[in-house]
Amino acid sequence: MSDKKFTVYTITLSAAILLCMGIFIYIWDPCNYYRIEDNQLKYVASAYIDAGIIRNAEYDTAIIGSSMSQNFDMQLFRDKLSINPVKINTGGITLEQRDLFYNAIEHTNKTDNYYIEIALTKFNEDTDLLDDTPVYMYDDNQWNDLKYLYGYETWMRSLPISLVYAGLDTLGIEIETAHNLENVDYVGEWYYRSKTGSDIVKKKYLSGIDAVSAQDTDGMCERMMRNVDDKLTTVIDEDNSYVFYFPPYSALFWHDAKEKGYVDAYYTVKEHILEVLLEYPNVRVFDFQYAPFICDLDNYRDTTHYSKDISDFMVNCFGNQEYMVTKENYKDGLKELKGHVEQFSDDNMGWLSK
Amino acid sequence: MGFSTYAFIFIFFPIVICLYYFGGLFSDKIGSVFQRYVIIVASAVFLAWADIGALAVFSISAVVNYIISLMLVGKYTKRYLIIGVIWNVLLLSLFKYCNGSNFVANIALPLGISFYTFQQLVFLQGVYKEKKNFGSFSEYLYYVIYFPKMISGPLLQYKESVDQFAGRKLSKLDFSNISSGMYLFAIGLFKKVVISDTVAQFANTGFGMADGLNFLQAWGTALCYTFQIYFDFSGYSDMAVGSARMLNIKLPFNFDSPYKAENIKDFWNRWHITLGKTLTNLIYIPLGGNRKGIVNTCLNKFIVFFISGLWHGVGINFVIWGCCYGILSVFEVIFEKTLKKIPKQIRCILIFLIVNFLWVLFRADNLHQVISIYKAMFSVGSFSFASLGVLADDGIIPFPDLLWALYLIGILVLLAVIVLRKKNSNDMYINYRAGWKKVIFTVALLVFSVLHLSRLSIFVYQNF
Repeated sequence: MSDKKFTVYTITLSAAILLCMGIFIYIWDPCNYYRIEDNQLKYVASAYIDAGIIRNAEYDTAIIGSSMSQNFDMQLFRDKLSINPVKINTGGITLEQRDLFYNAIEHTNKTDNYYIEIALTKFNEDTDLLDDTPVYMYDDNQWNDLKYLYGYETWMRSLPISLVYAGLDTLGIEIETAHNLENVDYVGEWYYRSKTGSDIVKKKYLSGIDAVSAQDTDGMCERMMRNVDDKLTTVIDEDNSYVFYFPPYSALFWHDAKEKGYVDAYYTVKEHILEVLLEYPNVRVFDFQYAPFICDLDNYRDTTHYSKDISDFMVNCFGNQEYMVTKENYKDGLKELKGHVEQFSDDNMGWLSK
Repeated sequence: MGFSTYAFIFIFFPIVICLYYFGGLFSDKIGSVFQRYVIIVASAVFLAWADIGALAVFSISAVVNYIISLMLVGKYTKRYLIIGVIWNVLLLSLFKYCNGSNFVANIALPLGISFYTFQQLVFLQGVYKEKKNFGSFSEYLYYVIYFPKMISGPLLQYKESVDQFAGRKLSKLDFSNISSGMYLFAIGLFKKVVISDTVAQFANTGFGMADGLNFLQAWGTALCYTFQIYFDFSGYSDMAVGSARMLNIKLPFNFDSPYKAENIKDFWNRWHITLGKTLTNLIYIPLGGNRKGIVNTCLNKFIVFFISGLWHGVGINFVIWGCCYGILSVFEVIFEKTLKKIPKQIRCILIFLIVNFLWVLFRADNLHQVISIYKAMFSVGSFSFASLGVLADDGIIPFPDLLWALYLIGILVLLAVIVLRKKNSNDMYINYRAGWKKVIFTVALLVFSVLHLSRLSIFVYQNF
């Protein structure tokens, strides 16, 4: 073969194969980036599927949060609050990811109502990186679609996994995590494959297995306060309405922070967050962190992740405005939280000292 | 914009090639000038794409070096050579050692500065010895800014530069170079984005949890980085040589199966070959090389490795790394005859283990990380095979640790076979013959590589 033929054949064949591959991905669409049919999803990783949900689902309210928000029952929202929400979440959501999702939703003009989780520990992170987030799926740059059509994550992760799920479904083989694909409402849900219970929580805690990553305590309070000032309200626009909520971490979470010496930083920062948010007329704030049930570890699977019952309770509260805080009463909630934590520490001294 | 980006592969390089060979339609004189300026402009764009400041720094460096080179053919040539050396060393030191330091503002390290600084030192030395001008400023620029080699080498020796860049004639389209260059580029791209970037994730995970590694994890981490840096840099070098070949320029290979080395000297004759040659010509030989007795030879070798450590990076890690190789090379000189009695296979394994061990210094963020990993590498406490899986677990696919461990080990074994037993890309390139098998092989490499481009990827040696 001549070198010229080699060159021509290589370029032509490469182009033809890439074209076919791109068309295949466009049709199969493993991340539902172009379409969602029958409300069903194809891939389980939230950060990859959220972009498609934002673009293609029908909704009038967006709920942005971490794994704390993944068990929200969308039908319950519809029944109790007469809204049609969609969950946009990813485990351990950072402030940058929150902004990414928010801006992508804003770009669709589908909603001006938001429920946004306040992930307290994330204010202790100083990063503008969006590690492991397929940012190219969230912008409106058409050229970046090439990264979806020909991307590593598409071909090495979402495509094979979506094909496996589809194959198992065709063969009638049920696997647990397929639940997340049955409906857009179920994206990210984990309650059905995770047990809660105080024994489980205690065992994990005493083994050093924590849901929350180790905190950088150097200059922690200053860093968190700065991040609150710089990043808390980047998602607030005057034309939208917002519900911010503090998810109910267990009392063990706060006790652990107390033992490690930074619970006061958390209290201070939380108070500052409340003060900032309550200044906005289009923002309502719900604080579930002083609810009495935080002391009952049977409600949890680790120090922070609560049961589906708690998630449902929160939705009911959004409807009846229980645990909604105002400028007049937010300090009472903080005081109650501190009281619960102290009581919890006293009541559980026995096993905590092991 | 690096070689392994969509912009380079689908836009930049095709345009450059088309424009370059478009020059072939003109007369020899006009065409050669046209081609020269196409490369100069393209290279400037290549450099500025990442950082316009890098282009500014390079421009200043190039102008000053060229002016100095003009002085090297007149009077007081030695003085001007010294000025040239001081200028380049100071410029490099300013950016390298002030980068992140407290006593001057945090200045970003301009892309490619370590390489083009050394390249220009070679150039000045060459002009000084030859007592002859290189050529016009544009010819000089063509040579020093040449984008395939500018950012991370390979470094050309003076004669190689003169032969190919000074007074370069019109370059006509040559499909044998296009096809062989494309073949080599595809190999390099695959090595970088598929192999290196995959093991890089494992290595990064390991280094990220340096304090908590066990014995197997520590060794796994070190091995992953050993393979990462080899496939990263040799892949880059293949792409540099391949892309230059497509433009009818022959760049030297930078690697020759370094992990097959029998001793430290052999390793450095196979790893970053052109840097070794440059350091030899710039430092080792001027100091006297091996011509002044064994003590001076050892001292000169140590100095070269010490400077190599400094060149590679700021920080005590790199100094220690360089000194370790200096000490090892001195050891080899002194005990040369004894060491030769060790069977070759054992020597190869020992050298691989030593190199693997020292790469930890190269990669670690600080000494604390180094110590943590070294401690774990020698603490045969818990021997949990499945724990290796932690390095490979991407958090997306919920496989058990054991499966991830098998996946990691499979990759490490495969890579070990490739680097220790198989032909390298030089051999593949030399034996290249166009045919359907090569077409399918090249297409497979290119397509598979394109699928990996969306992963975040940085050349390790780009940081130098």
